[in-house]
Amino acid sequence: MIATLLQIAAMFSLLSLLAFGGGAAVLPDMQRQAVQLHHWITSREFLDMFALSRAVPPGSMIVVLIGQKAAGLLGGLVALIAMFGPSSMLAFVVGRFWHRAGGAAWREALEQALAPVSIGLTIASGIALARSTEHDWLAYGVTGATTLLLTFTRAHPLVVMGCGAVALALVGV
Amino acid sequence: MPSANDDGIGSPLIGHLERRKQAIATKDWRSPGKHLMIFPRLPVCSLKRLNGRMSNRSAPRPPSLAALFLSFLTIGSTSFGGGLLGWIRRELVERRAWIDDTQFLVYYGLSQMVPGATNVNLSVIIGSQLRGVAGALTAVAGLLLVPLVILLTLGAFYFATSDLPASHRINAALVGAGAAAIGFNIATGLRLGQRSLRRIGPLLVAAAIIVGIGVLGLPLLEVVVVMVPVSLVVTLIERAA
Repeated sequence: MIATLLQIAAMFSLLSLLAFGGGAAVLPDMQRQAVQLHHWITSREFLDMFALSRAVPPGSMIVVLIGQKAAGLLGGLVALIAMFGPSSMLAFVVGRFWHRAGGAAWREALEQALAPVSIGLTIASGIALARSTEHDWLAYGVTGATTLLLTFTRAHPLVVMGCGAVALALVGV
Repeated sequence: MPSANDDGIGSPLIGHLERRKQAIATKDWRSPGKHLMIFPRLPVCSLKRLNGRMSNRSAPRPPSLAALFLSFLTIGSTSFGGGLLGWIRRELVERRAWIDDTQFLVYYGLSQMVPGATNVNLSVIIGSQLRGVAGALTAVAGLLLVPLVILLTLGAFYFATSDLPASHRINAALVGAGAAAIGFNIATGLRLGQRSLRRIGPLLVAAAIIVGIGVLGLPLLEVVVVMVPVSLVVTLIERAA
């Protein structure tokens, strides 16, 4: 039990530091290690877990299910801390460094330079996500309508998303 | 918008000016006003900029840990299906005004450069900015609590029955909510763009990233590594012009 918990901690804390651009980057390696190396779950279970955890924020939450299967409730918690701990500490250090830099000239320039990059990434990752999932014309319609409504009106996101859910549940698939 | 930022303009600025006057009067170069003598540009730069910088350094009234926890609990509870980034901005920038759009964009950019789930990194940086280590822990705990409980429950159910609890229709509804959530994130980007991308240089940088990642499917990390320096050069050229 302790050995399994240690394996979970070691595996996910390493993946945490390799997950550049988010958890999706390390999903294939996560699957390989959990299925073939440690035999905690089967390939089918991995896909089921992926489907289950996909809608749960903030992404990468599949690690909780893998840990839970491998070593129960404690395993799930250890996996969560291992997956978000190391990267969070890195983010904390970067944030502190930024904070300390105060009104330095380089910081002000970088601040100005980061804004268009961040805006581009926000829109680009939305488009990339739509293209990578099973988006039929109906789903694209929902995405497009939501984009327009939430950009140009004061509609509440929850209402709009609820409408999207109902629309596809009634009409779709 | 609420008064958090308005408080930031007056008092620290007046404090600085007072200290500066004192420094001039007493010729005490080691006083806190010293840096204003070296950079005399600071007091005459636009109020809006100064406001951003002041609230950057120390928010006038940082939220209590309880308020921070509640906000992130709300964010974590509403973002099922996606749209987390949009919810974070809506709650912290629009509703609470604890950070402004400039800070939001910078923290988001920093979060992307660090490995790990971007939105968790973003929560850590915002939390630590507002309330230090305790703030970072509080933000992440609030963000994860509801999703964790729900996922552990779903997991226990799944392991007991070894079958997906989601029926056909629930699955379709999740796809619909997910499709709308993607729209929410894109809309958040577009709204930020409406406000911040007023000149051609930054607009081209953002457009290049959208085409590179969204249309051509290039890897995010490589695009960031190339485009941050490019954007920095654009910024410096615009400043020089």
